[in-house]
Amino acid sequence: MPAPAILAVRNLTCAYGQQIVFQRVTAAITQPCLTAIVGPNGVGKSTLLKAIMGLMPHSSGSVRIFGKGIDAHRSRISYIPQLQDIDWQFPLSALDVTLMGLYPRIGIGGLIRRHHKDEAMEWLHRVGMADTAHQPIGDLSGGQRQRVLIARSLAMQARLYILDEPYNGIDDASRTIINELFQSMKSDGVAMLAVHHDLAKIADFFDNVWLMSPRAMMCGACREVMTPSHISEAYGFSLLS
Amino acid sequence: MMDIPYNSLLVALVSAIFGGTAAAVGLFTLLARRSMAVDLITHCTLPGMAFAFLLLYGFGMSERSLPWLTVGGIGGGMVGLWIFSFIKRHSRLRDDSLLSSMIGWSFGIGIVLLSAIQTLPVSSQAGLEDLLLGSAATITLHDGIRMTVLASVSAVLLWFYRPAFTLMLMDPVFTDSIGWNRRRLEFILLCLVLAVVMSGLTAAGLILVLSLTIIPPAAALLLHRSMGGALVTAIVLGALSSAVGVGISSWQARVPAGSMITLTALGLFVLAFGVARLVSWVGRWRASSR
Repeated sequence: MPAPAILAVRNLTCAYGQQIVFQRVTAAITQPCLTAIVGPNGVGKSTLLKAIMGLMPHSSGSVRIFGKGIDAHRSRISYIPQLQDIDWQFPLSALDVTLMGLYPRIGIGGLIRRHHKDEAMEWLHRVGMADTAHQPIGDLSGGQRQRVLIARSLAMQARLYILDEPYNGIDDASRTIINELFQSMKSDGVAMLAVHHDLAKIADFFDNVWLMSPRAMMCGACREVMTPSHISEAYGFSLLS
Repeated sequence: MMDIPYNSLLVALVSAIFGGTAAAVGLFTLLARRSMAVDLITHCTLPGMAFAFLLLYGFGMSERSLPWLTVGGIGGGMVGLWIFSFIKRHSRLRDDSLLSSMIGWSFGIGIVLLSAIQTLPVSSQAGLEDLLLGSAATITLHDGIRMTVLASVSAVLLWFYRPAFTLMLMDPVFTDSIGWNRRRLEFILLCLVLAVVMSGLTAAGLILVLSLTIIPPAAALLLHRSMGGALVTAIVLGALSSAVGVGISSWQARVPAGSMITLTALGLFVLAFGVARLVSWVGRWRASSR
């Protein structure tokens, strides 16, 4: 029997009340790779991520992760929200935030011990942020903040990473560092699914793409999906020369 | 050497336990930007308690029964929050406008009910107005036990849930994504706020108990950029404000304890502000002289 897909979305329909956001979406991730979700504003990219994470109920269809429902594998999935969804003025250090990735293992009310802090330091070291471990998160740049969130996710030792615009609000140098980090995570057997906006750079950062449009979802390798005709069909006009 | 009465020391100690816990809980509500919601809770406890008093009177029971008045206060706070959530769901009013309006209404209703209570042919309403501004002189042994038990249980629960509250307030979506029940955590934090408000009722008074949940944590955040440091400093400043305020109130019996607690907290805040500015100035000076 073949191994179940890392992520399988079948005929998924989501709605806010009577307002349908997207319907009958089908897509899958079968092996460790970097997959981007792209599409025009309001097409439901972030809603799809939330539905996959089980944070938003869906009207019909199914989401299977390693062949089972989200609750059976919640510890194997890690979510990295948009930078602006987090209160960066909180009095916390980069190490404190990384430690949060261990919370599912520590549990509510569990004691944070020395070995937890040592482990969090190792993950910060992995993303090249060990030197700033004790720095307040409010002092970090956009790229550094993103790397701290990646360290927090790595601490969860998940197999599937769901990211909401990981390259948004960071400079080119940080994008390169984060891309290298994602590539090394992929070689460790991790799959990543990220909402992305910059169509010009998509092939530099991702292997596959899910192109969402109001009418259909196109999935496949970047060079196959990101053709001018597909893009103009999804966005309503041509974006690439 | 000045001789401090044993009773005053005991009251100061109990007040310090309450003040430290109130400041610790307040740090989380301050970071959640929900201080006005705490203000609403404190104001809604007044009509809740007055209503409980009237009910007890109607049923011919002892009107000054503190456990029942406490239940009334907690009920008032919860009803206030429920009304707030209901109107918020069914209107386009901004949180601050709605909270400010509701604080006004609840205080008005509370004062009207208190005035009605004053006209009742019973003597037990005497001193009820002390609940508004607090009075060290009215703290009995029972009050002390109640304050200590409520504050201690709240402190233990806060310690237990501290990482979960921090995560929930800093990154709510990630909290949901790991399967932690955010609604339950928010409810527990709300219960801690209510417990702290009710534990400080006699000492600080309904109106000024709020100051202990805001001023010491705000001062602590001026001095620290780490959660641990801010929490410990808030506890120390809250305990100090409460103990000193209640101490001065019992020494000068005509000064309400709530006012003295607030003024002490304000003094400590000004001190913290000065220290924070000085540290910042020295840091900049050292950086520029390198």
